[in-house]
Amino acid sequence: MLFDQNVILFDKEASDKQEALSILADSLYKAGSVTEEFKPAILKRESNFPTALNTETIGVAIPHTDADKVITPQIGFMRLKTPVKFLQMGDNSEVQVKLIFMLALKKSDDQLKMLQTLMGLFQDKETLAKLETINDKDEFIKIMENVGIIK
Amino acid sequence: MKTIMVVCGSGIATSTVAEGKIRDYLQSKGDLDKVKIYKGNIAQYVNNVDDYDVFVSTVVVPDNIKDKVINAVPLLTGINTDKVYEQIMDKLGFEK
Repeated sequence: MLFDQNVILFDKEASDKQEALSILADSLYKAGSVTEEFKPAILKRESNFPTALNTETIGVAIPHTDADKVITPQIGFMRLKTPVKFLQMGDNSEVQVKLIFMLALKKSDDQLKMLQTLMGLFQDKETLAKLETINDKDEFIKIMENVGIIK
Repeated sequence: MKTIMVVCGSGIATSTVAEGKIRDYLQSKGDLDKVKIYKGNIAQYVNNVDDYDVFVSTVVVPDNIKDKVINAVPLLTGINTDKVYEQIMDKLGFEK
């Protein structure tokens, strides 16, 4: 299951995107979801191909890298206490990112649905607002179930 | 048969989402059977832009091909999606 390793972090402080990505990648590594190469690959890929997206309300990022660095599919979530600067996918414009969904995915059509659902979530202002205020993992899991990211 | 290439950094994640959206749109227009949609990573296809009728990307592309490539990020955020579909239909020569 995509969040079963409980890599769900609230109000972490990071001074820049490298630090933010490192905290989350380290957590996924500790949880056994990814290999040691995952973190450097995530950082490299983010600088080559930025993954932030401006939603109508807040900035989000979906850092990810090659499937061969993933052991078991998992999504790491982190909410930043103070947004940090990322670049937007596709046009490199500046985005102040508040929520990060780090995707550790294997190549599979099953994940298409999940990704589509995640993108749908980014268009859902009410749910995004909830993710900005909740403080507990169970509540987070419940929201993920409600929107259909966890089945 | 017209061709569309959808690329992202890996060829797995966001290109898959963008491809799904384009597929749904073409289906809704009744044009899906006239198009073959491919998916890949930008590094692999950066020199093949001219091989496809439409080349769509969720990642930044080099300046020399920028004008030929449609930015698919709106399909991910849901903001200004119509413009992307319009550009695709124009390049395909289909009616919007």
